[in-house]
Amino acid sequence: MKFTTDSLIVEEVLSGNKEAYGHLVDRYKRPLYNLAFRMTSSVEDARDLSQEAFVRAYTKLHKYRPDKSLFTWLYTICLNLTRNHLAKKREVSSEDPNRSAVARGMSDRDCESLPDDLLIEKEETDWLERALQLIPVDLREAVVLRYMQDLPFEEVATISGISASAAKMRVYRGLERLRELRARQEQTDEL
Amino acid sequence: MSYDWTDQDAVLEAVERRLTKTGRGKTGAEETNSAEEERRLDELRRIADLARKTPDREEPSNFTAGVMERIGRADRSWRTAFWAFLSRPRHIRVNLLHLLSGAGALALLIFFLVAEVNRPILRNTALLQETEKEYVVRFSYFDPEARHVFVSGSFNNWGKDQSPLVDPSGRGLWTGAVVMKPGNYEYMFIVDGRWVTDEYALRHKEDGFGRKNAVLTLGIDDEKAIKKSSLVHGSGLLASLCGKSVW
Repeated sequence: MKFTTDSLIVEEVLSGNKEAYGHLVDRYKRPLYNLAFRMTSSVEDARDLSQEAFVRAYTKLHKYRPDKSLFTWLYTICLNLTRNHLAKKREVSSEDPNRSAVARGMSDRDCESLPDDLLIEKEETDWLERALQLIPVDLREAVVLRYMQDLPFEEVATISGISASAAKMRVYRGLERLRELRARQEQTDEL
Repeated sequence: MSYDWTDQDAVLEAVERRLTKTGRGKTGAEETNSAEEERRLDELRRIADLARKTPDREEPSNFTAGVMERIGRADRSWRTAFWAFLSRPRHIRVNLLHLLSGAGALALLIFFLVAEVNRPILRNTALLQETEKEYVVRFSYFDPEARHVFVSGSFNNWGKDQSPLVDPSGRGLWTGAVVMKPGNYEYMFIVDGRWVTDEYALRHKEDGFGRKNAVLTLGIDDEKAIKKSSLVHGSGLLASLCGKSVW
């Protein structure tokens, strides 16, 4: 059976065809997994959180309103789970374990011997993924949604549950914080 | 134009404009940024551009299967979950005082339950419960052989079929309730067309046809009147089930 729209799949699942839900998972697993990964910088956490988001969505599927975007709804669920997860992690350890790892990663970067373009690009994206963990969660999610997930500001605002202007402000502040981290790293590298 | 760096919207707009251009640097004739401002804007653009270019990671190969398996587990029926909740072993800390209080309450409950079970079964009679202005009178008549039972009296102008009794269990206990105001009433049962006196009534009166009517006195200061204190077991239950619209 071929499902063309999300609404059709949702309808099919709600009518009792549980297996049809697999089509939805296949359709959105990558963006959800990447969202969770970029927020947590952990492969295991990303897998658990994005899978849990799909399970939550399944159990609440009867509450989904077809006039809204399923994608946005899934993102919102995943982001809420991620926020809760990060908050719990902060409670367990007041010192962010990523902090030292990132700092170490950044200072080691210079030790590489003349990398080619691809390696530089890879290093830069690795740096960004680690640096994201050093900025506040709300700013991180704004930058991730806007640039890494390539969503318009309106959708960033909807998913984060804030106004469009607040979303823009968070994106800007997120970029600023990353820029400062970058500058600090470059200073360290020069030493 | 030189940037007001406190206007975050404008700065972000400038960054976004730079992102959409193929080249870097100034994006419009109106922009007259200093070298320092231009450098800062470019740094922001670089960060945003880097974020945009970060490639997607591939999710684990068994991702969908994992989700479907978790859904299967979440789909367990509530009965299974409830049973699991009940049967899960627990450590319980017991306070002796609470334990004794609980045992006392349980003993009281058992005492009242036993008393209720041992209550004598009433045959055909009228039971009642007082409400604010009216009485709910419950009639009962026992006859396993009967096919139709009615109660007829001065409260329903001796109507023969206005107040039928019912035997929901099929074991011969015919019951029904009716709302009455305080006063004296006479009544008889009609069993399969035969007029039958309620032998269990507190008072009787000759009916002038050689039979006796049962007499029911409600709410009048008379020693033989049925008062609230004499309410009989079960009438409250029936009255609450039937309410005032019994017939």
